[in-house]
Amino acid sequence: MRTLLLDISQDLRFSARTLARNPAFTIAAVLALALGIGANTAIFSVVNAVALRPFPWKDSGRLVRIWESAPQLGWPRFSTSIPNFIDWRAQNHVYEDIAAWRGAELNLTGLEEAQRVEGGAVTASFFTTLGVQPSRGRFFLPDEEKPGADARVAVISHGLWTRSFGADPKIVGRTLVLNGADSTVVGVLPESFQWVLPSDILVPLVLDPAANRSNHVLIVMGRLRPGVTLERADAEMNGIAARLAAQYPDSNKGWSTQQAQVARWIVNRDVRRALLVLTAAVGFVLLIACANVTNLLLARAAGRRREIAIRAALGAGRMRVVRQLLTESALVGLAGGGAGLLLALWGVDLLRSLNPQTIPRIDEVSVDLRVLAFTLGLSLLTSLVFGLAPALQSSRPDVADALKEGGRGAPTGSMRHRARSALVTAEVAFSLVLLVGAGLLLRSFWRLTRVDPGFAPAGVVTMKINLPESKYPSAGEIQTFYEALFARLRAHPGVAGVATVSIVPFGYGNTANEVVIEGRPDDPGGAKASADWRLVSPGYFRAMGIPLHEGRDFESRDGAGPGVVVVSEAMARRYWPGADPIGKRMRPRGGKDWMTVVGVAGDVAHRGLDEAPAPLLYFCAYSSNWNPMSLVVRTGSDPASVTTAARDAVHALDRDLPVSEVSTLESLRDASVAPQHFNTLLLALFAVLALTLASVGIYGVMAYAVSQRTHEIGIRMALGSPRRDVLRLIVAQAMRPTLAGIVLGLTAALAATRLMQSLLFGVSPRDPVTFLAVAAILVAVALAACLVPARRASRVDPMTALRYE
Amino acid sequence: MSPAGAASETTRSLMEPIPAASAALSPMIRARGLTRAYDTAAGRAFVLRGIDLDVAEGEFVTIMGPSGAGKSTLLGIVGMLDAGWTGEYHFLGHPVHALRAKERAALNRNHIGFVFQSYHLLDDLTVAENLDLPLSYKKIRASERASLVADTLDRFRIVAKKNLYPSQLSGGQQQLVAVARALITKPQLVLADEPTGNLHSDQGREVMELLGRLNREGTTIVQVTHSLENARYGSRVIDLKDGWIVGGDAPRDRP
Repeated sequence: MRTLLLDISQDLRFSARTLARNPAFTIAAVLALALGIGANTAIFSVVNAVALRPFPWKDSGRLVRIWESAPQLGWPRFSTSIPNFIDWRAQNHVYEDIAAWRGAELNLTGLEEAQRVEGGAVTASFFTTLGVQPSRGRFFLPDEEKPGADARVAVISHGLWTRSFGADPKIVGRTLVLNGADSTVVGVLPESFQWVLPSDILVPLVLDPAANRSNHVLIVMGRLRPGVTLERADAEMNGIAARLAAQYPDSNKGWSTQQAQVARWIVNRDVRRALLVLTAAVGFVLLIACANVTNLLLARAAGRRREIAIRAALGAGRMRVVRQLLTESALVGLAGGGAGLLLALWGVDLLRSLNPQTIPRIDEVSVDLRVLAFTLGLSLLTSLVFGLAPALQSSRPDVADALKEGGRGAPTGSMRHRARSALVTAEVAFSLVLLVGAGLLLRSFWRLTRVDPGFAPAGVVTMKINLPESKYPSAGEIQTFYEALFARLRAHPGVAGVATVSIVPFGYGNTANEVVIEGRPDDPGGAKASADWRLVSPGYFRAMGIPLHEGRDFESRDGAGPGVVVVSEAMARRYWPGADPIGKRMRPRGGKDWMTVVGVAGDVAHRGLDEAPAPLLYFCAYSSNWNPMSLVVRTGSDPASVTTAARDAVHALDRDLPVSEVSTLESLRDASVAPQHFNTLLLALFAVLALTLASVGIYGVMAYAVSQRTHEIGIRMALGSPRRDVLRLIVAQAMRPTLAGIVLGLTAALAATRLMQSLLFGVSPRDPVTFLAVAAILVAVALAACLVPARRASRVDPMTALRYE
Repeated sequence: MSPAGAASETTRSLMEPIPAASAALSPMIRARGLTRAYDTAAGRAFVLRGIDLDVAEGEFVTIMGPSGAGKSTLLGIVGMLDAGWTGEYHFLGHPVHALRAKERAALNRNHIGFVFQSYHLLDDLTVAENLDLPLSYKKIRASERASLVADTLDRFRIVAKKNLYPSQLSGGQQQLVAVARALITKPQLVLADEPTGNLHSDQGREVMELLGRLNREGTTIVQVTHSLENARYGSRVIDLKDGWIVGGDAPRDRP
């Protein structure tokens, strides 16, 4: 054992010394590996945080997200209505607990400055379902969610407690002013608590069984009983949904349920697909780096032939030589891994800064023990990948010939040449797949950013205003407030338009309803008419730059008068095809009064640039007490000065009103394509890295191959061959492995890019333009890589070349 | 007996068993019809043709001949560094022609030491590490290896140079280390290929005297040389020409 340890320590020492004496080789190899391993470590640290690290909830595998589902309406995963939730809870036997969360916009006042707090209304079961205990006080009692309980209590997060209340030890029992009404803090969430939806302040969710079954407002999740599978839960919940559909056909017909583990909800298919593509991309980068290092080792093996032969002559068996060479490879791999880890630390910071929102748990990305173990394992595995073939090849020298005085020197055998050509082919093929992937994403992103959103986002500032019900209980009071606000803002120089909307385009969330179109029966299959909807104030279309194709905009009097709506072109086309929709009538399903279409507005990409405009219905904001609303202000001047003016105008009308989510529509548009931007940027980065590594690799092999032929070149030129012919001969031969790589890469890319289908917009995974452009780039790079040494060789003095050994 | 001699016993005890009968009855090296040829575009090129060779234990044989005669090739075959030959070759009674590569490598490792014209020390290893190299390829305990290296450094009076690299030594010193490395495993056979070819005459004489002394102590030596002076240290000369053995005499009888 001691002898083995001594041998290993000797191997390590000799290897370190050998590497130190060959700094050019060592630096080139370590650098290539650092780039490959660093990229892999950075992406693995994301995969680790997002998909591998357990979620911070007790038995998180049993936590399930439950949706109502109406795929025929284009809503496969939809929120749940309050009565349906109550029935689910009462009738199911598969969930230990089932809980609901509903977004709540809360103005917290009474402190130094009014603030809008991200919060939610939750059932008492929310805490038990997640398995969380209060750090102070208590959570909600079941009685507090009963209608009429009017329990003005709140639970606050650890963050808010420390941030806004200075970690007041007497926080439990303290009174807060929420939306203008007093509420008592009954508990504080623990510091470790995490939830994917806003939860700075939680208030009891009142569950009224008489609420509208068509009003889907709850996010529901449950904790499966031990041993219950998702399939069984699915079957039982769909059985309940079928019973409810039979019992309440008007609201529930055509509705079923869908369930997925909370982990699969948070890390959804698109995120998983993007991570898979990125993982494959960095895998390719590493393989290209490995090919480069293998090439370096093969070139170096020629120079080490004598050393290996001496070792063999002194009794070293083949495995002993292989072990020695692999020890060197392992040292190079570990050095590359170490440097890669440093790059990854920087890369992780970069990733976090690139994409704070679009990849879940991105703020949890860090280099932990698992990442370190991954890097170590990858470094050693990589050493084996790039080191084994050269080690096996080098360990079989022709000892007698290698040791002969004036022996033939390094063999220029066809086997070694073939091995290096094969590596070039592989590098080109890997690079091509990666470049095609990046090219497709680039073209897709380019198309996405050129989609006409249907409005003019430039120069529009937006912010959220939440009018508390206690102070603004009716639609009339809300209208009065906003009309006063608009008047103040219109007086501000540079304001070209001002209005409000319930959800600003590119904003979070969507509102949709089934609708009844006068004179249009439901489809025989049970499919009903439906549309997304928004509440907008008069002047909204002008402020947003949405064209009104027919009819009129809302007017101030529409809030109190007979119901009127404006429809989008898509809605007009779908429900009144070939007819003039102006004057036609419709109503939301469940509503009693018909509403008349008074205008047709242009289509808007309100669900996102990558979705075709869905039918959209506009209601007059003054007919509702909906809260919060987003203010939109169009300005021709500096958005910052308009923002300040808007804040001042709001506070001049009501000093307790916080203004939140201040942004420009252009920023919101950019944020809406952030996932695509993130994927494109990273894949493009990795593709450039791959192309650089491959270019260096191709150049290395070409330069070596040409140097091996210097003597032959000299003979040809001495015999009168023109320089151009020599050049053509060398380039033609050198390009063969590249062209083979392009053919292989194109074939592999055709298969691989199918994986990316869901990440693409407006571009086919087999887009010929991308494929051809990438192939052309690689041919150009390879040509450049072999032209440099070829030109150098063709300019050599024939006599010098003939003396070349 | 010197400490090195004691170590020699230990080393030998680790060697593979040699059948006593064949060892007693056969010479150390017995070759019949050794032929080495290479395939070239112009046909087969013969380097050795039907060589018959016997070397008894304790002999000091010199192989001579012009360049390209096949001297080094013959030495490579005897030392089991070359595998592409035909014919029969017995070494210490083992039928080398019938052995697998691994078994040949074991025979080489356990019984043969090499001295080369250009020393063939590993540039990245110190003198001590170069000496340890052949030991590290044998199953010898670490403590014993350290002791053998120390003894050899002492015996060859190169203790002061143990931490130097080959590039820091003169040619003669390098060959001294190479001879020391060839002998550290106490081989029964030392194969020396132009051992003084790169040395000036004083250094060459020292190395040859060292080989002569080793032979007198019982080590069998086969050397390849162009030098008649070197050949006089041996007991027998074999002349090679164009791959054939063309003669063989006692060196002092040669012109």
